[in-house]
Amino acid sequence: MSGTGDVGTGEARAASVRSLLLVWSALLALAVLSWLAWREGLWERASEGALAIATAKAGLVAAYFMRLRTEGRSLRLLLLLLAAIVALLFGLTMLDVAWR
Amino acid sequence: MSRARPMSSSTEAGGAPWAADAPEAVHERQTFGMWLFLFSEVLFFSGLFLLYLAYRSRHPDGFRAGAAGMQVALGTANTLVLLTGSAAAAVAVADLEGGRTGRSALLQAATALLGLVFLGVKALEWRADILAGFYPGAAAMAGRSHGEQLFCSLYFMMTGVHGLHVLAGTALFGASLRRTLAGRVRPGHGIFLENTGLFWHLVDVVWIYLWPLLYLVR
Repeated sequence: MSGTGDVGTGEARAASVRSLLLVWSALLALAVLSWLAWREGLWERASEGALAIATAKAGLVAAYFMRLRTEGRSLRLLLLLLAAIVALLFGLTMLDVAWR
Repeated sequence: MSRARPMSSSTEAGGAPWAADAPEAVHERQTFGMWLFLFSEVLFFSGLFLLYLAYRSRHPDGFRAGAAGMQVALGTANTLVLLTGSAAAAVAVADLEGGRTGRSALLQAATALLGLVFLGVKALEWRADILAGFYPGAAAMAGRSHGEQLFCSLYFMMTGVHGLHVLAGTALFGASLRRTLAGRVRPGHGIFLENTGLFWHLVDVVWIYLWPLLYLVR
């Protein structure tokens, strides 16, 4: 069988443990912030804020834990295409729902 | 491509690093393949979220009433569990790449354990919901509004499907741990752990959105 596909140069892509722990702290802080805002009833008046915080958390996970920051251009382009497809899917469907 | 080539790096044997079976190229393909699978998962969950948003826009009061009974404390606890599991998985990969195999194995075990904790908390939550008559088809739901019934069905469907993914991720980390202890996953040979981590992080991202939509937003 040909190469297993594993490389010895993972160190080049590896984020430091310290930076990963910092991201984890930020994620926990954002989660607590979201919960506190819920407890104060903030999301009853501005539910978009909860989704904005969720998007920030998702971005941190994608960028640092999933290493999208260091992935190649082809993958990032594919991700952009996926985002466009999902946006189109959501946009057209919600437009249809709104017009019914 | 020669199948007779030894498993050591083709570059070490004097081969070109851009060769199709060079470890770097194979690693890139395997990672790319995993991302393609993750994209299909994103499309799948997007459909569920879209269903939720569409029905929510048509039945805002019913969804608000349905969400009022959600156990926010348990949902929040599960959020913290999954975020911690994601961090443990990310550090496990970094540790393996840095040669700290023992610590990587511990963190893989921790990630799997956190997955089980998540499922346990979710089971407790579902049990309480079912005992309270809050489940699709329950007699108690018949008297509730159409919007509440829709919320109930979507809640169980979305968290159920997500829970199955958590179960799969937990099993994958168990498999990765076993391979690490056997020496098959080791520095320079960590693609199984890396791809397992990617899957786990996506499962975390899905919950990151499920939590506010089902528990927090009224």
